[in-house]
Amino acid sequence: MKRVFVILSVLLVAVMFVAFSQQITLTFAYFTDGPDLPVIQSLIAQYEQLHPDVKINLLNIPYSDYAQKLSTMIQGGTPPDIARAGDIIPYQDVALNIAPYITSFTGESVEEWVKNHSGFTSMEYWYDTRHEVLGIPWDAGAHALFYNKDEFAKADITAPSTTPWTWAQWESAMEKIVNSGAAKYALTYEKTSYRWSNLLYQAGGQIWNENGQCVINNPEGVRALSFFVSLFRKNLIPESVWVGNTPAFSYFQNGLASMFYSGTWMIPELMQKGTVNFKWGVMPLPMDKVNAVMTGPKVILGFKSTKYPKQVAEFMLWLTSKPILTQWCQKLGAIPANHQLLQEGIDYGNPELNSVMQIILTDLNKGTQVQGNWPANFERDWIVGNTAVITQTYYPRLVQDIVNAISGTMTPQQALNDVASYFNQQMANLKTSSK
Amino acid sequence: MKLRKFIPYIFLAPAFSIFLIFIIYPGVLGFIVSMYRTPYSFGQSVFVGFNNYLSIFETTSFLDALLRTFLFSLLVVPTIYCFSLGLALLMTSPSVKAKSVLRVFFFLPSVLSGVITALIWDWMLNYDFGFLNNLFTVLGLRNLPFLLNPTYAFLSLVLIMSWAASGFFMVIFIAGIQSIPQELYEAAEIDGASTFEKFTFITLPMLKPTSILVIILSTIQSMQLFDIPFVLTGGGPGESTTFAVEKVYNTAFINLNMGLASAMSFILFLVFLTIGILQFKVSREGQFLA
Repeated sequence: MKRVFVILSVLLVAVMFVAFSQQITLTFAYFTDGPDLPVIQSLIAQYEQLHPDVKINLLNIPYSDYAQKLSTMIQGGTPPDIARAGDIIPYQDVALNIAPYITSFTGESVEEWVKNHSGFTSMEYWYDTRHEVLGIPWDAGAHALFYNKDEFAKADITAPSTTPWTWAQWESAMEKIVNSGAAKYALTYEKTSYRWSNLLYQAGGQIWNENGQCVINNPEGVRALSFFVSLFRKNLIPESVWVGNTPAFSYFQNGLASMFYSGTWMIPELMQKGTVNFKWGVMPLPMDKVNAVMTGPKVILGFKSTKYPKQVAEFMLWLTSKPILTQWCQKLGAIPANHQLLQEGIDYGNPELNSVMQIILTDLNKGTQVQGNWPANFERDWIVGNTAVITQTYYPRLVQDIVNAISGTMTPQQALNDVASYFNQQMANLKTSSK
Repeated sequence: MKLRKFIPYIFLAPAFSIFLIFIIYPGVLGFIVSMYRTPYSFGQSVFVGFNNYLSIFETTSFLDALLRTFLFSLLVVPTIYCFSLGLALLMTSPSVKAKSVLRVFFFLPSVLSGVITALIWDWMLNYDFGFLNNLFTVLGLRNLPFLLNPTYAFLSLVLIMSWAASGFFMVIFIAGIQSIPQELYEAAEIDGASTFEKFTFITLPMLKPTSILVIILSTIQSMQLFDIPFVLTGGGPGESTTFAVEKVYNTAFINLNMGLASAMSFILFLVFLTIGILQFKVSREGQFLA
């Protein structure tokens, strides 16, 4: 009996040894965007159960350090196997082309899959121009305007739920909030060039024209910046967020500002108990010439240097497949970056979340920056080509010049002239260096 | 016998290896990278010789940050010197009670990380949430834009850095003061010297080596400052608190231009080296290292 037990134990150890020696580990660089860490961990656990030969090592890196850590890993020759990213552009030369693995995993032809999957045109762009699938759009965030229902009631304002406010109506509501004493500030607006450019598109402006010239300083651009600056001058927005370094959300969270210009990624956090101690809602974004709602997908990408391209591609395709993506979006209130899911719509399974998402998605569908239907100017500015590379590389200059206009060291026209001249110079440098 | 000859080198080897791996190797690699144009998308780098260095001098942005760093050092080093010397004098004065507790209290800021220091001061100086401005509101005074006005933000950083570093240098000064022979003070007292005269004619001259050390260390520390302004002001308003090291960081990790950032780092290294050599030369002349 003892001998049998020993033999069985040895066999068990040997089997485990063989099993573990065949297991491969894929490193997945990840940043959290709201309270999504437990969700991704549970999805990884699901995947590992389905694929006992694969272990996913999740590297959770704070968003503030993410670009630095990832670029250092890439420069140092030790990139992860998989990464979550805000964009494909910075990684286009090191990203893994997963096109060869698509058909065997999904049963669709690559063209068919790209068409069905791509809720945003960036993937189609890469496939059309390079015949490669360099990353898969995962979920998307849309800009959203949150408001404090209690403070709105105090100021006797009814927030619109379907038709957006015009800028003039929005501004007059802001004045009413501050004058009624409902809150110290009417609006807190996140300090990013991407968030500000939503005003640019609402005013009918653009960063680049079709000839690759920066035209952000055209009258529409100046109108957008002048309007923005005027809100600071009237003390409707706290300067501390843009001129200083205070997070915009802290004003909304503490009831110091009644509206918060951010995006759908804030919804899970706002829905968590204890984040805010007031009733909040969401409203359509205001409009000027154009009803523009900006969106941006997050992508998942693999790296060429991986030893396991097939397993990397399979994990990426599984994670962004319809059933898994549906789970992800339901748990986080995210918008799927998948064409079919966008068409079918998602039941978020929670009446509060459903009503919030309904307002955002309706606004998004009315706007010109609709998913899968971005206008060419927006794509040029942020998504495709050298123009997008310049915008994404040198956006700090735009932020800096907006701050210069807010703090009065430049007029809006001077600030945008400076951005245009700087961007055009960088474009000329890029063209010279790529010759 | 032969082995004995090598023993010192064997003992030196660990420290030298660390120096080689973590200082010399990255330094040489950085210099090599500075000769390349590194594309935004991590593609193939292109050898461009000294072009990255030339492009630094073509635009004023990095040079402005460097000048700002010099100005910051020029203000912060004397402030740290005065604060730490003043504290050390207090801590060695026979009339001050509970010195051990006070020494720990004054030394505490220097053990805090830069990020924590920045967060503490944000809670103090923030325009809408800060303790000081809330106090001003209670007192019926106007809020002050400590971190929103370029001059105020710059001066706030000078004070914060001085607050954070003075405790450490206080300890060095205390050691220096305690090593001054008491006979000198006794002789001066017999000669009828006042407290101020004893300070200017005995304490200060006798603290010359310590002073030089404090000045060298605080200059290096202030020129390398990164974390406090990065967290507290984000380099703003505008670029008013963007110092040289932050400029390198932004070039490397926001603009993703490693070649240019490496060239900036190398220039910074040369600047620091020159300052270091000058200061050591001065300290040698002052017999500090003799």
